[in-house]
Amino acid sequence: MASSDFTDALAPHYNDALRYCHALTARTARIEAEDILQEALLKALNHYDQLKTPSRFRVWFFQIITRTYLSERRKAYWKRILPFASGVMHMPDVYASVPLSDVHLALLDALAQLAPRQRAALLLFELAGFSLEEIRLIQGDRSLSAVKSRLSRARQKLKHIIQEDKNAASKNTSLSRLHHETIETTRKALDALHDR
Amino acid sequence: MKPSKPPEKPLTRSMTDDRDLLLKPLNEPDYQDSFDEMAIWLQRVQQAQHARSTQKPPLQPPAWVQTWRFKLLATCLLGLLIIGFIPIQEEDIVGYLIYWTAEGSPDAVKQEVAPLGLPIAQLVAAPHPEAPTNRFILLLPDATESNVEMWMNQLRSNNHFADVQQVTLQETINRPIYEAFFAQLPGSLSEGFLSKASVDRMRFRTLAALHVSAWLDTPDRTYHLAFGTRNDSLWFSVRPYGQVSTAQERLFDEVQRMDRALRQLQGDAPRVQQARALLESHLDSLETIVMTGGH
Repeated sequence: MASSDFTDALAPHYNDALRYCHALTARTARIEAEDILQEALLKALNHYDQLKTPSRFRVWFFQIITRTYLSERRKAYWKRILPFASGVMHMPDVYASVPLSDVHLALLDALAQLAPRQRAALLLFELAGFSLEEIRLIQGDRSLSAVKSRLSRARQKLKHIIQEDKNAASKNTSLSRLHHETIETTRKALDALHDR
Repeated sequence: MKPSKPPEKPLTRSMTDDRDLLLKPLNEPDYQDSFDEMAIWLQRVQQAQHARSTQKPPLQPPAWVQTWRFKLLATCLLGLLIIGFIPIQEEDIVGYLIYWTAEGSPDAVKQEVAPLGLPIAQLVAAPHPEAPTNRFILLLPDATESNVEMWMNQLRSNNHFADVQQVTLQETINRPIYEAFFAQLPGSLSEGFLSKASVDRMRFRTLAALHVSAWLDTPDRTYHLAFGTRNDSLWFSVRPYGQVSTAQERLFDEVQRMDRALRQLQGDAPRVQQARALLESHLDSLETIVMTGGH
């Protein structure tokens, strides 16, 4: 199997895969997203010849990413930060060159508060556009109802988190305005005293 | 002019109302520019893997050595090996002793016993203390139980012999579990399995299990020998006829040395070695004295 076959198969899904990896790891660390992506790419490259149906490459590759991520989450923290074995060439720094907007970062913050499997299900559905059946295959669920239930809970929780963030932001804005007015009034009072 | 409505912040939208807008920021980054670089990296990785796979691997154990079945088997065998060498204490038969009483001279009895296949070279004759008969003692260190049983039956079937008895000489010994296991296997495996050294050791233990006393009756110039088991459960006294000649007296000295050696067998290892050497060098002397019956 030539790597060109693999890269040809990867090309149409490359962008989505990188976005998925980054959103999956949320805002923990950019390097974690790169590690997950590198490990998933190496696994996919080594097992590409076992993929019997090339048309299912997308589901297969996202399944590898998801399982790699969930497996990493289960590992102890100190194992997660261990470097790769010597002899493994490091992947290009693909995430550093693309800046992220504040809105993007805020959304990642909200996603970070979801459970890993919930987050993965939501991203697979909303971001990568997989069907419920495909998500069931990727996440290894026995029934569709489990996927539906997980998606529903993820949406509700994300909605709740975002609403709370909004309330907090609004409250902060009101407090800030009041604080500013108080300072302004005090300053005017001091000026008036000074003039006299 | 209608004021333009400020764009609503995507995060404030309801997910159920407009999911695409909510998650749209996640789809904004474009990483496509890095794909060529990534493709080159993948190609290098595969080339490196190919190079590693074609290289002759360094000395490594075969794959089957690393399987869990092999590891389990090796662990079990190692465990058995360790357990097999744990010493255990058990009662071991180190030989047999047959004795009977009969009238007539020792030579006549020997001639009568010879056709039975008994090792008459080890036959000891002693006068019975309370009867006009002789007591005959036969020490059988290498005999098997079946042989002893057969000889007992043959001796009992002879009308000239009376009070035919058998004594099993036992000793508490320490030996590894594996040896105890093989020793208890049926048939002749014990003889086949045990080396000649083991058989020799058995013979040695038989002699060591016996307690030998010898003393010289100075006024009569007669000597006495007595054999007994170590726990003194059975004693045989041998009092040969006649006076001791000078040559026999020298032999008797040899017997006494052997007696001392046998007594030292219970000491520590160097002494046991010394006693064994003495025993081996003077065993012939003892047999000569016993077999000649003092004549």
